[in-house]
Amino acid sequence: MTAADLRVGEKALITAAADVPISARLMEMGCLPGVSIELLFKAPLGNPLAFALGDGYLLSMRREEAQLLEVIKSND
Amino acid sequence: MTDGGMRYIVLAGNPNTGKSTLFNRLTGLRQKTSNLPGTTVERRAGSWNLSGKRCHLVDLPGSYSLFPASADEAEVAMVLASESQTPDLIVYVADATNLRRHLLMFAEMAELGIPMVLALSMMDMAAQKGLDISIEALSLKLGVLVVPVNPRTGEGVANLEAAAAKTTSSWASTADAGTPEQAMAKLRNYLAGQELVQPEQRKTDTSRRFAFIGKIVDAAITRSGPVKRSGSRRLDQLFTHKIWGFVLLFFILYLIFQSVFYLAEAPMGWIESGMAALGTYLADHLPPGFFNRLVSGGIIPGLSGVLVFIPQIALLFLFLSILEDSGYMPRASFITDQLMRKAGLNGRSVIPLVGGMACAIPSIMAARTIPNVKDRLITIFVTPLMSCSARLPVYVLLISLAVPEGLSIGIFDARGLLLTAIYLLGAITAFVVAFFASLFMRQRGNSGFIMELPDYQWPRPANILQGMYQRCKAFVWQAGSIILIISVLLWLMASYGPGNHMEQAGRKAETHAIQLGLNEDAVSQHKAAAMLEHSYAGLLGKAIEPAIAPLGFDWKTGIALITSFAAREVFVGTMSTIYAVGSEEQQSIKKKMAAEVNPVDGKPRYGVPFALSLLVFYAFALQCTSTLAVVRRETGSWKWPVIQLFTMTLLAYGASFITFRLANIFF
Repeated sequence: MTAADLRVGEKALITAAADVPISARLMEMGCLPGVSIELLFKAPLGNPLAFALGDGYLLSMRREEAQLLEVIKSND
Repeated sequence: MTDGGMRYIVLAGNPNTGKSTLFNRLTGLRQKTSNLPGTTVERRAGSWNLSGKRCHLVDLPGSYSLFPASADEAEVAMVLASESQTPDLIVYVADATNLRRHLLMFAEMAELGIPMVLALSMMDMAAQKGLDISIEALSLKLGVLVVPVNPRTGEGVANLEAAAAKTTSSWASTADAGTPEQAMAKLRNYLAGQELVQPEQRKTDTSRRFAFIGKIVDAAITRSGPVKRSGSRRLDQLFTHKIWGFVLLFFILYLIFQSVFYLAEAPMGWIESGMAALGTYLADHLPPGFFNRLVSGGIIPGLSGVLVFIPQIALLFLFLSILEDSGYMPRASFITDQLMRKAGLNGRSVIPLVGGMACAIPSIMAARTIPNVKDRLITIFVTPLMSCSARLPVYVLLISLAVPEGLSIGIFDARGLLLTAIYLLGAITAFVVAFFASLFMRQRGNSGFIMELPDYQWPRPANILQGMYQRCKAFVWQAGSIILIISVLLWLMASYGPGNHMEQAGRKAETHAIQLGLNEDAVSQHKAAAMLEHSYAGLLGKAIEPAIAPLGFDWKTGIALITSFAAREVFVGTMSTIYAVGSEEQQSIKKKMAAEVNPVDGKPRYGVPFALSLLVFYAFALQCTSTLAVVRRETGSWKWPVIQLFTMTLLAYGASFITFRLANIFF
């Protein structure tokens, strides 16, 4: 699954980023394999999405960008 | 080293680290804005006293990576990769609460072999979050001096100065096996070709750097308590709420727009009357002659036209800085992104578009933060369609000509309704044009809407005032010089004509007016109007008359249209000279104007169709040399201002033509 499939409040771990140029930017912004990611809230029209990454910093991105991040759900 | 052997130091870091506050503290009041030729972005520079030695300190825009995603980020890479002048030292500011991400660009910079010092801000916040950071371990592993600072209180600044004075060579450890020369060559290649560094390579490099940083951070930081959630979350529930989010956004925008409008009114009046008084004083005290007339008739009114915008620009930037500093702006972009995308724009376009209602010039500069090149260009392209404050005096004059006083439609005052309609016309057209432009433009760049949502915080007055001052100054120097030149040129054209036709026409009109028994003011106005008709500007007006006749405009309007190019509100002044609408004779001359008949169709020449047509023309036409100049500066070529001028003129002409024809049927 990808980060775009998360529901609000669901937590996951990033496992990989797709092979497209934007991924480089996502990684520079802290979306790295092994980092925890939680969908905190969505914009009123459902897009973009706001994620809490790692220690709790907030990063917003569009659904299309979130689809580039492969994740696995974590249980805590 | 800069000229004179001063050490050249840059301040770098991610956005929201307190970097600018630190810059203000280090430089005190000894700073200036410089706009270096060849770059499209402004940077702040000042001097920093390092144990008695003056150093040249440059504040770089906040950035996440050396490999830029937007125009303001590109600035950072360009400064560091500069062939002519490499910085002697980088003071890197990192947020202690999120060291891992903040150290990425640090690692990228360390590879360049430039000496570095690491300043850690937000140490108090880190402690609150239960993070215990070992400065010694960090310093040892990174190979640079690490200094905790609090930019707001000034705590640690003395230590930072000592560290910066001591650091003259690079000992930074890096994750890269390559040499600094190789790293620098790589960066220059990237800047030169944009695509030369393969995304795959960039990802590998980023992973490598993060792995390197991860080890260091894990060793240097111990977590003593649980992660505490910040109060920002609760504010986000309100500001990004499905309904309240939009309600609050519109309320805030309304408040800003109203304030810019009303609060600026008084100071704008002071500036205008002050400059007018100065002009009169100079006219009386300078020796009579060409120079006297040039100063009092050309330069002073020209300067006045520039300075009069300062209150609005200052206020607009005051409110925008408060919104930016508080952390609200990213939320406004966040909630509107989806709507904006439908129109071919971006969530980040909100700021320029709203600002465009005050003045397009600072707003176009604000579009710099939009990373996507296409979105940024379209935003710059349509921002001048928003009705700016300079159009208002023109609207008011024309509406008073078109709509009788006291007329109302239902419970609404008809004049107010027409004014609202003309503002809406501009805004809706901006979105329509953006939509079509997005169909024709090729997608460039790839970053959509990856944006940090920083914690909310109280705005810092010192920062806000500082930013306001810098932007006003930039406006006066950049846009100001162009407005001034155009004004002087127009004055020359309006004051001189071929041969002695002007003098003859003036004398004839004077005699005629005296015969009619008009008072002294009216006589001189009639004389001025007749002389203007025979000046170069008047001849130009006559020359373009055939082109604008289909819109219902005569040569006199033509002059007003041309002079409006310096600044739109010049229109009102020009009209009063041309139509000789003076303060005392206003009523009767307005009646005369209303009675003037167009020989072609027998209808009043300056009736409702004329006023509506001109109103629409002003809403659409790009009659602002400052806007053209700033678009040229922001896009780096004349291509965009030229296309913009062409499109908007076409739009104005077409819409005006249709309006005039339709209005002629009804009125």
